[in-house]
Amino acid sequence: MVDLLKGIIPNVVNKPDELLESINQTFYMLSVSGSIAFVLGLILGVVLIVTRPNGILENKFVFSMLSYTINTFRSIPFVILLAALIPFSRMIVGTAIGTTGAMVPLVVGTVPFFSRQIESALSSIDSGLVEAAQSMGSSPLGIIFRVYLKESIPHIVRVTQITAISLIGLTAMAGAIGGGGLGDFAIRYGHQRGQTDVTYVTVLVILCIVAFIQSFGNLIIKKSSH
Amino acid sequence: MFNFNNFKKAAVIASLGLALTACGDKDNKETASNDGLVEVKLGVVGEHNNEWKATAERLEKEGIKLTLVKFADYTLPNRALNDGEIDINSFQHVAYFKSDCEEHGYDLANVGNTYIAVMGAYSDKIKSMDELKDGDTIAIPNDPTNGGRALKLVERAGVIKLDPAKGYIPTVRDITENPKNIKFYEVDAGNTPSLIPDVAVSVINSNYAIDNNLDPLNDAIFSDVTGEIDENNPYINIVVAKSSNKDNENIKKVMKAYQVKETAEILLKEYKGSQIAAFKFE
Repeated sequence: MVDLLKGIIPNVVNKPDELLESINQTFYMLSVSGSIAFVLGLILGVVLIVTRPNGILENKFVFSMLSYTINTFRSIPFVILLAALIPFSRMIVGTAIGTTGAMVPLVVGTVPFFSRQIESALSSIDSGLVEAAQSMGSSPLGIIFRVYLKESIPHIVRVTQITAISLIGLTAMAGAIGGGGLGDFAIRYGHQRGQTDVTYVTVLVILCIVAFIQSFGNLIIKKSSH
Repeated sequence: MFNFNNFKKAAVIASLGLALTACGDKDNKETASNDGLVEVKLGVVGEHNNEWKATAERLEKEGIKLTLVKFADYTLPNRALNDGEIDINSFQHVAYFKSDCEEHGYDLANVGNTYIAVMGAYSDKIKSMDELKDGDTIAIPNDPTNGGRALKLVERAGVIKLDPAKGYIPTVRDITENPKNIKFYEVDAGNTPSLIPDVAVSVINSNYAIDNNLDPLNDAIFSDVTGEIDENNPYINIVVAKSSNKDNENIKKVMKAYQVKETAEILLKEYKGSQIAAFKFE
């Protein structure tokens, strides 16, 4: 079996430890920056929804400031953001290099995108529902949790799936500051050194991760739909 | 409404137009001389070509028009040369030349040296490579040629030993001895200067060092080009032509016009001493 593998994917078989480390690095980056970005993005998305014109906590200043900031960060190509955030990374996590150093740029690169996704998911809530809750004397916080968030769970799961898979793509660029990961593994060996079997295997592994995110999310949607 | 007749008319006009432009291009390619000058096309990468511009001025007096053809990245000029689209190129060092030709089966030849660009080790924590402690980190470029060169530099400083079978393009996996357990971070070559504070030593190409206000001659704690340049140094940059063309008289004239004192002075001035002429001149 090993000989068969040596025949078709020699460049992977001669560095299994590096492939394993790349998988670990990708999981580490996805889980840590993913969870932080999820919470921050959710909060900012909710802020956008409630402070927008005719929102339950309408606030033109907060809404426009947040909107412009989000647009600005979304306009910066990620590779440039990675380099620009080096001093900020150092301040927050103590280093700008390696997988740890990649966390801050990954979060900053994902939160603006995810908050727009949440804004979009929550805006499909029927305004009638919101009015009904208001007329029953619900506080803004109550409306946020009991109407906006609770009623949008399937939608929120879907945009989270989209963002998570986009985050996998971002982690591929973390190699520029030594972050490693599967994407960087494929770029360095598959693309730069022409070892195409490395590229195939890496894509396969990423495909498994993507498939898992899709199925797991779909399961949650099924359980929470009524 | 999708009108099929109009579509047919548009398709005929479009194909006629394409056929006409193809004819036009063919005519241009067949022009061998411009105002009685022989044209030599030189492929380069990047914007720093002042020493070639000065060389072109000298060549006009000898009846040669040196035209610079700019390429956006390193993977293109050898292919263009091999396909006959340009006559010579000047952008690579011997190590890259050898590996690129081997990988793609190009039939090209070295027709002369230009300069060697220094690669240096920089640190904001230590003053010499001997001061590296157990478990320290070193940042190196993550592409095969520069990363390999950085590792050879670290080997030259006596910190590690590399598998000699891997020649000049070793990878981190080819380290045979690492007594100080140095951890290597492979990063984008352009980021090596900004990551100096996060590692013990960062190995930086001279052009990136200069772009980040570092002085390759005075700030580097170790450099891979010191004293006399060894003829066999694989990082000497060269001018390359097709093997069948390497004794071409015009190409010889171009090299003679380049390898003069004026060129060495331009290199020294423009790159603050980090690009050193690798040819002999008076």
